Formats: sequence, C-alpha cells, structure tokens
Amino acid sequence: MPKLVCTFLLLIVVSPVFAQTKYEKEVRIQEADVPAVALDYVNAFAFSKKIKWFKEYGLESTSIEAKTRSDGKRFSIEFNDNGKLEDVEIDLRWKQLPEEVRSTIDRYLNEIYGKYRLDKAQIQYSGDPDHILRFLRKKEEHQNITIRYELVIHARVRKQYRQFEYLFDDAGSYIRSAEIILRNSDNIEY
Amino acid sequence: MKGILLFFALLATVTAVGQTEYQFGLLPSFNLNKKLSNDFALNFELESRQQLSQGLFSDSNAFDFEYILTDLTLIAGKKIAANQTVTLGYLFRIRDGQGIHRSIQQFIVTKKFTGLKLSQRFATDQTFEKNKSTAFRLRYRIATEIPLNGQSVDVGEFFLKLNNEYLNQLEASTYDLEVRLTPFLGYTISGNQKFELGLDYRISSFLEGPASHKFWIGMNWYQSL
Repeated sequence: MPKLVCTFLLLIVVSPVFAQTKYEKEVRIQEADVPAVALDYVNAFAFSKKIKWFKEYGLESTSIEAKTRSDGKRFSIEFNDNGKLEDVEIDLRWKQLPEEVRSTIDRYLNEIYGKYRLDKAQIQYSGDPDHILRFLRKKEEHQNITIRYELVIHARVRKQYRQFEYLFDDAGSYIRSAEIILRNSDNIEY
Repeated sequence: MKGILLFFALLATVTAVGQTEYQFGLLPSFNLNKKLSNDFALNFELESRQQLSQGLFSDSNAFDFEYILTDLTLIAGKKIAANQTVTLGYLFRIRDGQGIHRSIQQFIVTKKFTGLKLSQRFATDQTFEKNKSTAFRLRYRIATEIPLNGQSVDVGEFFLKLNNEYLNQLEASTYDLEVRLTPFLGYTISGNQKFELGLDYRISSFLEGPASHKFWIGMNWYQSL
C-alpha cells in the first residue's frame, strides 16, 4: 500500500513535467539579419572557425543563435530578437560534469525513470555578457555568471520511448524540463 | 538523358560500359505509417515499376514503355530502444500476372547528429516464387537525411536524402551482389507528409560478366496517420 501511495504521489509530481513540450525550428540566416550588438559580441570571441547564424522558433518565442566550434567544442550563443545575450552553451561529456553534480542529477533522474540514457549534455552560462566573455576567453575568475547544465535524455514513459530536455543548476538541482517533440524519421527507416 | 545515365554508370563501374545493359524507368511509391501503442508501428507501402527504356548503352534505344510490377508491403515494427527498431514484414509482388511472396526481417538503428539524421538498416528476406528456387538476401543500408535549411528538417523545408545499400543474394547456389545508390531531394509538406524525388540507381551482376545497370526515377510519398 505505501508503495502504491508513493507511486501515485510521484505521478502527481512528475505529470506537470511531462505536460510541457518543447519544439524548435531553426532557420539559417545571414549575418546581415543579425542585430549588430549580437554580431559584435560573437566577433569579440575571435573564433577561428566559421560562425553559422540561425533564427530559432520555439512554441512561444523566437531567438537568434550563433553556432561554431572552438578547441573541439561546440558553442551555441543565444540572443533574444533585440540582440541581448540569453546564454552561451558549450557541449560537454557526462564525465566532464563535476562528480557531485553528476550523482545528484543521476539520483534525481533514476527516481523518476528508473532507467534513462543521456543523449546530449551542455554547460550553460548566463548573466553579464562581458563577464562571460572574459571568463571564457581569458579564463578569468567568474563573477555574476550563472552556471547551469542542460541535458537531453531519453527514457521509456507510459510504454513509449520519449525524449526530454532538463535544466539543472550548478549543484545539480532540478530547475525545469520539457518533453521534446520528435520529428518523423519514417522515410529513412523503412 | 542517356548521356547522364552513362556518366553515372561510368562513375560506378570500370567495366566495358558500351556492352552493358541498362534499364530506365519510373518507381513511384506511396508509404503509409501508423504509430501504435506500446512502441509498435505499422508501415504499408505500395510501389510500382514502369520501364521507359532499356537495352545496351552502345545502342540507340527508342522509348519502350512497359509496366513491370507492383509491390504491396506490410511491415510491423517494434521499438526496442529509443533509436532501435525490429520489424517483420510481408511483401506481395504482382509481376506478369503471377504472385510472388517475400518475408522480411529488419533491424534499424537511427541516430540524430548535429545537422543530419542517419539510419542503418540490417535486413534479411526470403522470396518465394512458383517454379523457382527460394531466393535469400542479406541487406545493409545506410541512409542519411540532411536539412537544406537549419539543423533539422522542419515543415515547409527541403532536405537531401542519400541511401547506399548492399544486397547479397543467394538463389540456387548462385550468388550475386547488388549495390544501390539513391540521391533524393525531399520536401516536408506537413508534420506527417513528406515527398521525395530522385534517382534510384542499381548495379548488379558485375562480379561475373558485364554489369547490369538500372536507373529508376523515384517518387516517394510518405504519409503518417
């Protein structure tokens, strides 16, 4: 009986999480269509590789994103439509997350899904744009920067494999999540 | 058109092309997919082949229309992991007024990378035809879908689909290898409709003797329910 109550409570807690969905459509744009403030900010990083610009359409908002690679890492720098920095995301491997953060996240996800698999991990920097720039370029001590971790995982929920995006703070505590709306792959499977 | 086909064949083989056979035609298909509960899915395909021209590359062959066959395929799939599917299927082929039966087994792995989707298909099938030995095939196909705008294929966007497949066939102790290369241009009409147009090129019988080249103009319509 207590097990049944626990399962029921878990379902109540978890259900709103599943109710949120995430859909993104990205369209390639030219530098000329990027707000000057965003362009200047990305140029200040002095990336050696080509920078690709995208307009991203979410379910409720739009944004502008610069994507490139540097030192073997994939960078995504996201701005709002006016060119105000939202965050800088850098891909990383699961083992590159601090061990304590990893175990906190792992414990949390195991409680919900029992079994899950990681598809993608990113470290996300937000806050003062100049501080982020100095921190990432010159490896200065960071101030006024918020660090978070964004994970994409998949798990079997209600008899179906589903994909989710999770956001955790720098200690590995849950912030928010959304189910990713998957695109159809029938034409390359059958 | 024949010049283009010949150029394509030259790229694929170093055999004496002039003496090799080719067949050119249309290969339209309609593909219906239905997702079921518990990660099951059904796929139905209707495909037809029509010849427009055939002969030797060295000859000047006139337009030669001929209806060849129609395939009806039903495949039941089950996801065994988020990106892995196993399927069992049955194909019924109508050719020269005769019915040909084929049983199909597949294992499909799909992976999404930044800027493209990749799918690998490992398959076996057995073809049963009256007064002929059973044909056994072992197939491997790699397929990729590359968006032409952005990093994923969205509604109202074009994409490039490239397939490369290797088919090993054993029939009455005779072995043959067929290689297929299919570049397609696709368009996502809606969340559950896609259209593709391209070339389905097949080369076979090249292990012993002159190769046989087949060029089909493929037109695929994918509909999900």
